[in-house]
Amino acid sequence: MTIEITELEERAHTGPFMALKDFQKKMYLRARELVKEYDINRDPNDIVPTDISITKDIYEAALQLLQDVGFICVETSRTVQVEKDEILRGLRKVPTEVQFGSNNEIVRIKRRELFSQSPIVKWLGPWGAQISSPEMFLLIHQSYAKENIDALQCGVVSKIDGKTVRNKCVSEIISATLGAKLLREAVKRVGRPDMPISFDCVGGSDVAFPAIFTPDGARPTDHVVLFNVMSEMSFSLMDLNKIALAKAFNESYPFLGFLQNPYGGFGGGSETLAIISTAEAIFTLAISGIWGVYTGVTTISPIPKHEDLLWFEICNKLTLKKHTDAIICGSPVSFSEPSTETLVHELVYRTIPLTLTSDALLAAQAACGKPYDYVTGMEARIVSEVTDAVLGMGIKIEDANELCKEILKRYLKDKAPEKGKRFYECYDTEKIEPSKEYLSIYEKLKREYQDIGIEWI
Amino acid sequence: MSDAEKKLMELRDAIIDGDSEKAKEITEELVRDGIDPLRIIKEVVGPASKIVGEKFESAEIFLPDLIMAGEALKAVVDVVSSSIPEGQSAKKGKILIATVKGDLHDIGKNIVSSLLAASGFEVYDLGIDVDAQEIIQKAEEVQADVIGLSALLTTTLEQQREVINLLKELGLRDKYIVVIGGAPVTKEWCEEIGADGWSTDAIEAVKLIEELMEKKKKR
Repeated sequence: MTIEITELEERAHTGPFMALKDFQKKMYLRARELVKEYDINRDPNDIVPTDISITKDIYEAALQLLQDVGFICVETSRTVQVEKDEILRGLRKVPTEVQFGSNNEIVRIKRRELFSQSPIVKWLGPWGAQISSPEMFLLIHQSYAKENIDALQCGVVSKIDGKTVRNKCVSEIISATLGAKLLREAVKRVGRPDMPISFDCVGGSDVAFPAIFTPDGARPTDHVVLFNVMSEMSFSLMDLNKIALAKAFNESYPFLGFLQNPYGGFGGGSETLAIISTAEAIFTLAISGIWGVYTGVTTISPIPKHEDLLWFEICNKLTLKKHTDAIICGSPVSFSEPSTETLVHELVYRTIPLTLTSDALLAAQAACGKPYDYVTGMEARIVSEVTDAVLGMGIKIEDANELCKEILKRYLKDKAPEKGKRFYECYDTEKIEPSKEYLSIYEKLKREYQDIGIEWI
Repeated sequence: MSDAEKKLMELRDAIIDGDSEKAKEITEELVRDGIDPLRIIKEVVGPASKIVGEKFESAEIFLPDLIMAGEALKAVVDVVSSSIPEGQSAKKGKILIATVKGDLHDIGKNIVSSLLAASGFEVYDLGIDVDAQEIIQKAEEVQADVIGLSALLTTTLEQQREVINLLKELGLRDKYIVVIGGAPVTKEWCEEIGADGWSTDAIEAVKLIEELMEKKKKR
């Protein structure tokens, strides 16, 4: 038997109680021991891991961590324990292909071979970004939908009539209904009404979530919910509620696992995080109905250690691709704000190896989605063009490592995120086109990148 | 180096390593040996918390190490406090910290809370999803100096304002330093809701609270 969500609910109420802090400490200390037991060491010469033999140890260590520590439910503070056999049975059942969209906008996300040069699905958008009004929400999503993308990701309407949208309140329900409708409107306005949309952020809480299923909102051919591993091997019952609701509304593939571990948090540094994030993914994929995992990346440090962040994230993807049949998604995001050079560098730096190690790219988000309106369709353009360049040039993983090292050395080492502009400050909101300034920053950097060996198509 | 100095160094290392048991043991020995408790604070607790903060900032150690160091430091301060004459305190102040109602994210709050504990503050961490009323009730109960409010979601950010508004309504606003934190918090937001300070960075948050506490003492 695989783990059904009803079984997960059961274990989240009957498993051993443990204070969250004690669980987090136990997880970290065990992961630290496993790093030593399996002799997992980051090669200091690599930013993008090139020796994939390390993935075997990470996979085994992750399986061990899962058996030794389990998962924790944040609401009940009970640990969910799993057997190795349950996990392996679940992993054998993950789909290797899913389909979204309709008519001439069918998008198939298929498992690609590791380091494949075949096309990758670009499911791009301002993932989870906080947007200041419904009007701005529509314009921002139009700006993404206009770009060369296969499907649209979404942000959040955070204010309506100048009033803040509150979690689990009437305003959030209105925001969800409105957000869903506006996303459909955005794809219609760019002439692609059947384009699949991810509605995973518009109905944040389980209370607001059903509001996205109005006749003008989410369709069965869209994507609606993420199973959110909140941080470091924990999950919320709220997500299980959303999944059950999505199934009730006949969604085809509602269930994508989302993992986001802050670097330097309870998961520690690169090596421990490589194990913990893999354990999270393995657990998530073993739950019945999951069609893939989407790893995000973040940091608690004001100056991101780009080299460490990328190493653990790519390690995670390599491990999952090498040792499971699951669909793996990558998230090109930047800490910097739009219309800045650092934003371009961050997106290029991350998109290169993600293109080689993922099956789909989800999100093209700036400034970690902070409020308000620090996202634009231009970020999708950058990600899309870099992806095309990587595949067009036939870049290998070793080349990706060298390129990323060069980008880090030249532009990103110890560099704080750069302050930039909001959507309406760097876009013509009538024509929905990037400003000359933003375009010229990008064009200038494209020329510089040609010097280090990236050929834009 | 005298025996006492050696023990003080050992104690400092035990705090940095997050070894609470060892730290407690050494502190008890030092107090038994007649070492002035305030010397322990000055020569060990202060420098150890500084080193831990620096190591955390440079990513040499991570959040769990920080928490363990904070626990070791608390063990030392608890032993020392019972030996300090009345009227003197080993702690820098009392901080009540919580993630506001509707928000289940605890990592940012935990980092700040651990750093504050590692810096010698007495920290009351109410956890996640805590409503305004409960925060104020607890602050009154423990006679906190500072209320720290964390929020990661913009949909829950508004709850920071609600705590401040309730403090005003109850006539308690001036009694507390209120600081806010979380990824979406900005200077503008801090000014708009009338908080005393804001930070999105844990190290800066500790410095900010220390500065605000100093200012409060001078008032």
